[in-house]
Amino acid sequence: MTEKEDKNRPETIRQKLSLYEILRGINRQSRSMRSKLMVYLCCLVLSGTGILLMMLVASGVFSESGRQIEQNLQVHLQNQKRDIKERMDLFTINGIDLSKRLTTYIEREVLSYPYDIKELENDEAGLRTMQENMYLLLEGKMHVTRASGVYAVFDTTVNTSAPNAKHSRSGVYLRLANISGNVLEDDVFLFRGNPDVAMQNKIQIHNRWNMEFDTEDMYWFDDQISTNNTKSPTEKYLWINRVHLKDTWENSMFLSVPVIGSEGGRYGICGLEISGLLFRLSYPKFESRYGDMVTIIAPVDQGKLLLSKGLSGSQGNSYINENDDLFIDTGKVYNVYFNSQGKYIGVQQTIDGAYDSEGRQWAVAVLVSYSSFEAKESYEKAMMIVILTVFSLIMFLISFVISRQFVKPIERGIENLKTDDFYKNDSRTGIAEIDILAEFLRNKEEKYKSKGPVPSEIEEMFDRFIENSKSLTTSERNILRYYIEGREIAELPDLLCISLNTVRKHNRNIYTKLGVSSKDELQIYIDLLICCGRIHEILE
Amino acid sequence: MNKKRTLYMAVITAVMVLAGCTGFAKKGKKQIVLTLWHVYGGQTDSPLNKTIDNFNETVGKEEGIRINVTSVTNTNTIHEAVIAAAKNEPGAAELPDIFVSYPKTVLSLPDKDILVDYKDYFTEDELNELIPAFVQEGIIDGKLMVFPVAKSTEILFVNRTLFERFSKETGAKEEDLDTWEGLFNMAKVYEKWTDDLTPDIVGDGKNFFVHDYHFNYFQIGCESLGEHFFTDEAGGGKLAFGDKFRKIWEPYADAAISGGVWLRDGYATEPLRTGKAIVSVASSASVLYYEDIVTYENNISEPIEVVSYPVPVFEGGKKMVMQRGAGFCTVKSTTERERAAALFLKWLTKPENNIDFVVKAGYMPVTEKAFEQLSEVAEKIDSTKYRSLYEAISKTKEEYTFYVAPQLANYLDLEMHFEKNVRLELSREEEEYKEALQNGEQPDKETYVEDAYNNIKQAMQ
Repeated sequence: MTEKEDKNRPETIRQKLSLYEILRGINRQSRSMRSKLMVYLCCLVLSGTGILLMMLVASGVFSESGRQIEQNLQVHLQNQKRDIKERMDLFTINGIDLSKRLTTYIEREVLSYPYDIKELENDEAGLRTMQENMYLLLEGKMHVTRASGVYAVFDTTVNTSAPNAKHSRSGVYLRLANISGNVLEDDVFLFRGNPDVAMQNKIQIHNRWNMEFDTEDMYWFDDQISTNNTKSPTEKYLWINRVHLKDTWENSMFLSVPVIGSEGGRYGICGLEISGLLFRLSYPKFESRYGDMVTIIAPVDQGKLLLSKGLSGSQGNSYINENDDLFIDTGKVYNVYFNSQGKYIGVQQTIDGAYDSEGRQWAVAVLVSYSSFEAKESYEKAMMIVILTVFSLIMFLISFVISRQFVKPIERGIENLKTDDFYKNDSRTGIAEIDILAEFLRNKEEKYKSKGPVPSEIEEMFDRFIENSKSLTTSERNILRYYIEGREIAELPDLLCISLNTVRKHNRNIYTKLGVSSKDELQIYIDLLICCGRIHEILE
Repeated sequence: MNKKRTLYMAVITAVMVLAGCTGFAKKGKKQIVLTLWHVYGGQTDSPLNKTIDNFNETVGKEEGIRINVTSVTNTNTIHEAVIAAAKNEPGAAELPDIFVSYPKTVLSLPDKDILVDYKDYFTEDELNELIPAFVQEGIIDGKLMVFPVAKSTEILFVNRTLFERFSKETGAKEEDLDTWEGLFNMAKVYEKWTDDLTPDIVGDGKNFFVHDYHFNYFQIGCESLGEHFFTDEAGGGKLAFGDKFRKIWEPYADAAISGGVWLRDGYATEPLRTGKAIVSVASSASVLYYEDIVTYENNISEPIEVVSYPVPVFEGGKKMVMQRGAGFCTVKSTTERERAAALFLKWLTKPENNIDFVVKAGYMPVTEKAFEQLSEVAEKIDSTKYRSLYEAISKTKEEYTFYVAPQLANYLDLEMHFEKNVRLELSREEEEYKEALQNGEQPDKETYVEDAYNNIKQAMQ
């Protein structure tokens, strides 16, 4: 310990002592019992309130987490929906534009009037040229929209004699094979189409390349090019549910727009692809205090979010099985989503104008794992309960101390009053009522004392009474002792083993010798001598 | 005293009841989800994804670990993405927890300390079970940063169906593919033979051979002939262009300029799939990408048989082959997550799991125990393509020396630069040579070979 600290130490002690004395002084200041009792009760009420709050928190009445997560989900949903809607609008505009341009190109450069796409069947060179000429248009659309793929497939085939020609359709499908972030690399692969298109444009063919499309993998193809489809051109586009790209590890959803001739002929379909990977990278998880928020785009059908037909953003710790649809339990603040593998909470909004081939509307949803939310909520509740428990315990402790402080001076005051010389001490209890009582008794005692010693006439009477008592016989003296001890006449025969008549005879002698006329007068003398402290003189 | 004890008990009971109400009892083990970028499958259906599903459903479920594959691509794309993410470039994707890469990617990182040193999570005994050369390849600055899970080597693939058609007409034999000299001679014969099939169309001969990595051809070629491919390794590394390089350049460039070698960018998948080439040297893992059919321009597909052989060697040269195969890198995070990643890798390298995965993807296992079981497992494979591959791998392991490329910081740059320039120069010379032929000239092919060599040398210096 340094010298400086040594010097400071007594000072600190002095400060502590003075503070203690101040507190003691305050404590000793007289306050009414009522005010002290009031403070004590207030502490009890606060403790009770703490316990009540604790139970309400535990039972979830105060679900602050619920409100906050709803706000977080709503804000994130609005942001994601705005972004997704803009992207879908961009896709739609470009998809419709692609369809129109293809129509114009085919009618101007490829087909002759009356336009019939079947004219190109078995025309290997014609189809190759058409595909080569379409390439730049398709690639441009892919880059403008930042899609992961673009395609145009026509209702014709290069070889009607080839096996599976019934479902084989000619077209071009370009894909970005290696997506690794929001910045898409210029890594275009030919997924479907004539390999010469790849060679001419210095791109590679995909590892799972095929010459033509298989319409068995495109269930919507026939319906969309059907002449029964009488919707207006701007309404004919569809957002196709997630499809597994055959022989690859990837899943994609598509915008599909029919390519319709100026005379109403159905040439095929075209559109853009959003791969699961692109969606995942474009919509990363959002780290909130309640867990990672996941963005989902999926069609909605009868209380279900059809995730198996939609796409999910990156999931982080809120793992959601993308092959399992989610049942929706709609709530006032947020919805609860669940499937066989998990439970989530979230919010969703439908996207205007986006329908799948079954007529179901697409929706954007933002979900967070229920377990992570629950863990956070439990943590918050636990924290609240700990705070309230500590608060209640402190209140109980204060109540305990105050109640002790409340009772202790009363006890001390009473004990003090019980002493013979209480009036000599100035011991304040800090309880106004006790102090007032003590003051009152003190004043009375002083007043009594101020009147001086016993008057001389009475003093003489006491002297005479004591002198007379010396003439009593031993038996009479014994009886008088019993009276001094507070015994009654009726008790004496048993105590002295004599008859009551003998006692009465002794009584008469005692009264005569002491100069009193009755037992009551004798008792007054005895009491007064006790009060004056002279009773012992009789008994000597 | 008893009263006090009763009071304490009452308080503790109340706290426990309230804690129970808050759901503490319900809180189980928190699941760890690890994201993974890998290369096993590329654009195809990935066998590793299926293996990972198996992990997630078994050990992962028990341990509360889920591996979430967020991208299956190639090492070059991962390289670019990892470097971009490590440098915090705009638009870069967030780094996954685990990614697959070559040591060259780690060497290019601005800060290598972002990666886990697996020595912290594997015991000495566990590491000793792995083949030492495979472990050694992943050690950078004394730390095991690239963990081996599957290794590949280069293999010669032959479309036997089309080769036999060619062989029947010309007398070519598969044994001639044992040497590079034989292979390149055959490439020229094949080009002429296919050209002659359509006498009305001049210069439409097809390529015979495609090499996925021209850089490796020259690197292994030089080293097998006793000459270092690289020079000035301490000063950053550059190509030596020695005599042996010149020697192995001749047959290669001669065949290429003659039109027997596929020179376009990319892998051998395309020419093999479309019948535009019938022989390739590629990673053994390419077996996954080679389909059992060839599709022609008229949309007619023909089933084919693909067989595998060890790579050709130079006459008088040592039997040497490139050891390939990236490893798993784990990005540092919490100890809990790093341990989960290590647990996954331990599971993946257990012999039974390792073999199950590698034989579906065309790789070699990484433990001696697994290698002992490999031939037995390979014999039971249904696919003749895979069975042939594993026969070739076994032969390669027995007869060849595995070559591991040096850890040069500029290795990737040199490789990419060389690949691009070689393909470009030879394509240009081939085009000019064919143009001269079509113009009725008598061009001296040696001049074109010489020009291409000089241009490459100049471009790389």
